[in-house]
Amino acid sequence: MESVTLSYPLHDYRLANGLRVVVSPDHSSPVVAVNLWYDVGSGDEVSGRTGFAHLFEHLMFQGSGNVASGEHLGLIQAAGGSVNGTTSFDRTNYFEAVPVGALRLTLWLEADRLRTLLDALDQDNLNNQREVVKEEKRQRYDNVPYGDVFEHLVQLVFPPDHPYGHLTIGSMADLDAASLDDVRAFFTTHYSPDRAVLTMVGDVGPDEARQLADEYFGAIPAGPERPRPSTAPLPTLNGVPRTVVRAAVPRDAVYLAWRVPPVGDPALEALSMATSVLGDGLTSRLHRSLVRSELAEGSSAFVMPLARGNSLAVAYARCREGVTTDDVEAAMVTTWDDFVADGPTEIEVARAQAQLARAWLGDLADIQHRADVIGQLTTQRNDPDFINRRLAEVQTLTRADLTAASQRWLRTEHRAVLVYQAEEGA
Amino acid sequence: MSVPPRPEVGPPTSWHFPVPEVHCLSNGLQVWSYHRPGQYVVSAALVLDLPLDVEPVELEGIASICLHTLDEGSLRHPGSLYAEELENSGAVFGGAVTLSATTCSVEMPVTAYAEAMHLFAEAVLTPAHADDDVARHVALRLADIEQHRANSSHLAGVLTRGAVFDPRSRAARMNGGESRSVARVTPDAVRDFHRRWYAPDGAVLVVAGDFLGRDPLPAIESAFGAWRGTGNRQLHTRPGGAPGVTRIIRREGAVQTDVRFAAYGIDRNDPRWAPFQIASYAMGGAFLSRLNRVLREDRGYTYGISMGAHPLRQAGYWTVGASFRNEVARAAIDETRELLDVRDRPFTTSEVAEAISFITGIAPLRYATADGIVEQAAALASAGLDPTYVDRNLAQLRTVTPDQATAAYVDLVASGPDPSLIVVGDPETLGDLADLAEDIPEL
Repeated sequence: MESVTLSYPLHDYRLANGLRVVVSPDHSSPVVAVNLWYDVGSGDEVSGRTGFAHLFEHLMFQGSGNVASGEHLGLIQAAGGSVNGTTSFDRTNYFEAVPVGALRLTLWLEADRLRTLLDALDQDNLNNQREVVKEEKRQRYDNVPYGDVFEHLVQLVFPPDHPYGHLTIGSMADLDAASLDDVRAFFTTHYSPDRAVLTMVGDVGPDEARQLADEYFGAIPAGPERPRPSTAPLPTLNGVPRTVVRAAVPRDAVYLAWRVPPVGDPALEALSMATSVLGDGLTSRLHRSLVRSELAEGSSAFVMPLARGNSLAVAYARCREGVTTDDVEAAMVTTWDDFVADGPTEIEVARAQAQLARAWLGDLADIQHRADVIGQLTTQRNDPDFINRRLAEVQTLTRADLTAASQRWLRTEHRAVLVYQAEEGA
Repeated sequence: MSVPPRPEVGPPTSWHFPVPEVHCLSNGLQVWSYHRPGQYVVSAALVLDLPLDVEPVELEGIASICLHTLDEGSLRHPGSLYAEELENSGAVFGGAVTLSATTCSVEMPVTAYAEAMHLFAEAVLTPAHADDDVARHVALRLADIEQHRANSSHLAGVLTRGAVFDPRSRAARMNGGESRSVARVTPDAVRDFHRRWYAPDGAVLVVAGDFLGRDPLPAIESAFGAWRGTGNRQLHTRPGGAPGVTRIIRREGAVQTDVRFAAYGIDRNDPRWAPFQIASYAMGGAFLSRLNRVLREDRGYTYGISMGAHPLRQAGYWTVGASFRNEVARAAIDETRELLDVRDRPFTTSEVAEAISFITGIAPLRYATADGIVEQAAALASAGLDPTYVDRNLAQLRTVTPDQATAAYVDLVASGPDPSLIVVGDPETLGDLADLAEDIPEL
């Protein structure tokens, strides 16, 4: 099929203090997206201090040397912009999208907290945001059916001391134990211009953007050397480790998980397409063998791309009423085994390529998402231009590539199993 | 290290919601098309003029089953052949049922535009609605309802609609129907519903994207031109409101208490709409809104509390919602109630200026993408409005004064109908409110 060739302009340079700046002008609307990708996530947390990277992200909104608590969010919204931050295993990102007239203010606010966060940090702010984060954990994980799925999955797939052995949200006990000294040490270790990528996408020219980045961030010193242990890739799982959870959920459910290679490994794209054939859409193998055949209420499969050593692949099905988890797991395994043995058909590969292209182009249609992708590609691949080349590379993948990657990584003897069983009366 | 001074924000750039090319096919279908350079995924939404009042009471939910079974096979491509064709083109089918319209939608790569548009029309005009597919979707919808019952936040949302609207109004119940009526939906009834109500009469097709220099209309004419009207039009009715109630739902073991305040409200045509948008943003839309500033940023009671104004085609409702840890839920409810009363604390000049600046300033960003434009234009079509509404609304917002914002808010919240209070959680923590505790209702 004919496909679109992307050619987003990219201007990529580094300030003297190590801050990487990538600018992609787009004058279609009078707005600019600003995105800071800090190369720190919950994978950098140490034992007893889980949840810390995310708690810290909250504190980044509680004021800095020249900004009052909450004022960063308040000023951006009052300027007609959107603003937030998120934390994951591998990174913490902070982002704004603003009318062009607020670009300078946005950069100034981001620079002020990077320069002077600790001037404003106090025990009241820490106590308040600790409570807010605990409420977030209750609301998004603890008070939701199946809310602990990923906690169980990472515990099955990764050892406890692995960067991905615990969830980003952390534990209540560790959040309670966080002290001001911990916060100061975390900031000093991880937050400096040389550990960040600043991306600007939108109605700004490359020269102006460069001058603004230098004006607001140029005088912030680089950080000290950061010792960061490298994470060796783990071998595939063996012995089919299994967790059975009895919980107040409406239906039984089965999750399968695999260790797969990290971001940047060429096999990961092939595995993403393989899981798309298996679990994405009405034509997928799992949908046909589980949902259409009335064993399951829903099914899916996907890869969660991660940077250190391994990524995670997951397949999922929620049982129809009266169907046992044994039957559902058996059907999933048969479907998976058939796929791994023979690989996808030519049509399935072409379909997965077409679906991936539409999803990728749709994501990049939004300047905020485009800025975030550029921050990710720059941080994790040192290659922002991959945004323009990814589709062409995906089009070169063949049946043989998907089959080889699946046979290497996705055999069912290398799976872990998580089973939810509904408690009586739930 | 010298700190640069805090920059001033420059004046907003003049901006207008894009103007569509409007066409009307000979069968009455209106087409609004937006050419948006650089938007390589074309977004399309077909808004059927289909108020949910047309559902027989005993079959409520049938509109949803009809919609969600469209892409399970067409007369031309039965069974999974249809999904194979559509997915091979890179497209994805979707849709939603609201109280005033059924919206069928498709996202497609522009390179597959004509092919995907024809497949889209094929599903809408000539679905197979095969017996086993309809039966499966009925079972899946019933399972969904059970999942909603098990989720405190969903349950609170469902109960809110039931509390705000007159039970004789369709608006009092979920758009997708509740279990008793959904369970009665049969394949014959779905096929009949489709035959009777899926028609170009009053329908609008919105498309947006970068059409690579080609005219998007011929494919639409070829795909939808043969669709014949039925002459069946149902008038849209105004749902009635209900007096405020307190409902406390017991959920054993919940670690949070989900709280909603809500009441009957207004739609976009009410003169109080723009001032009420401003007031509800100042009360619970902004991060530093009155509610969030106190209950999250000062007290640490919640991850976030928000207020929203939800306009329907006629009438509407407003909600305030949050989840609080159980120990503080009662204190949080009491404090929320106090904060909601603005009679002694009218909205200030700076609150109103910031609300105007946010709502008008965010518009170019919100409507920068093809799907952002289509979503908004489709929402307006389903409310019986045209896309010039966006600019008219922005102009009205810019003129709102603090007095107008306060007056509209007091009318609708402080001296309007008593708000209902919905609580889902652990009644033991709620003190004297808990006398009203009920077990989780059937939905």
